[in-house]
Amino acid sequence: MPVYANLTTNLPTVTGGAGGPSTILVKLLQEYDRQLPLDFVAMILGRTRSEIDQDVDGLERLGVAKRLGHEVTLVR
Amino acid sequence: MLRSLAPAVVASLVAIAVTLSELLTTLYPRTAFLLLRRSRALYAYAAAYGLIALVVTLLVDQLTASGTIQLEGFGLSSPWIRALAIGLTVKAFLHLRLFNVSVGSQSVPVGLETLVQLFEPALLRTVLLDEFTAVRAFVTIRAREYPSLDVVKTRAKSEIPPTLPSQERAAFASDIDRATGGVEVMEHFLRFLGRKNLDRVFPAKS
Repeated sequence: MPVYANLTTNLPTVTGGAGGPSTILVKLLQEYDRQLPLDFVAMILGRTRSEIDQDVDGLERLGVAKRLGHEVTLVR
Repeated sequence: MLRSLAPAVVASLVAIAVTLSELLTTLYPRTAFLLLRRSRALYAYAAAYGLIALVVTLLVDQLTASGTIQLEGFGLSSPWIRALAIGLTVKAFLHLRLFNVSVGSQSVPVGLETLVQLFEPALLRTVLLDEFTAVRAFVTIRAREYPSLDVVKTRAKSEIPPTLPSQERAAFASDIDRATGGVEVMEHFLRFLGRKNLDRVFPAKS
């Protein structure tokens, strides 16, 4: 299992009360309030990297999130 | 006997209440009403922590009475305060891990959490499946009354509260757009906005 410095891998509560995959991703980014490695996001949400990539693509088109290399962050 | 059992029962009830409320408010805040009616695993999960709290309280009381251990701190000399403290903290305490042992891609925690691993993952998975089944059954009946997917999507997107953060609104609208059926739209809607909003936007016709 990869080790992510300074990131807690405690079970996040973001999936509670989230509508769907994109909403869950946004809530995760809101909760951590920082840019996150895409592999870390996939691990936390129990999804594959390609599924996360698709969600990030969709959020980028909406202007909600942006990809920074292998990381993703919310657009302020 | 009854005197020493009563605080242990209190600790157990407190642990059950804490476990139930923690799980429901963090993972299933909008669908708890369905789980509470239909999931035995949910109650088994809470009861497991209740049982542990009961045993721990009896053990601590016995060790304190025999003078083997001495608890110091505000009110801890009272068995009722001790019971309350154990009930409130037993779940967090059981999640202490000393280190992890990795076997391939699996990571096994070693410490008090090892005990929890005997029952928690299986019960949480069952609760998750119970929630999925209950939500699907609940919205399927409602979705039958709204056969047009386009109408369901349009109505769902137009009723997202404008007071929510814009990023969440955009992401939720995107999830609605990508849904392939009315049941899926209503599941997202119920989990995100709750039963009151579902009943308001998609009232039962029969």
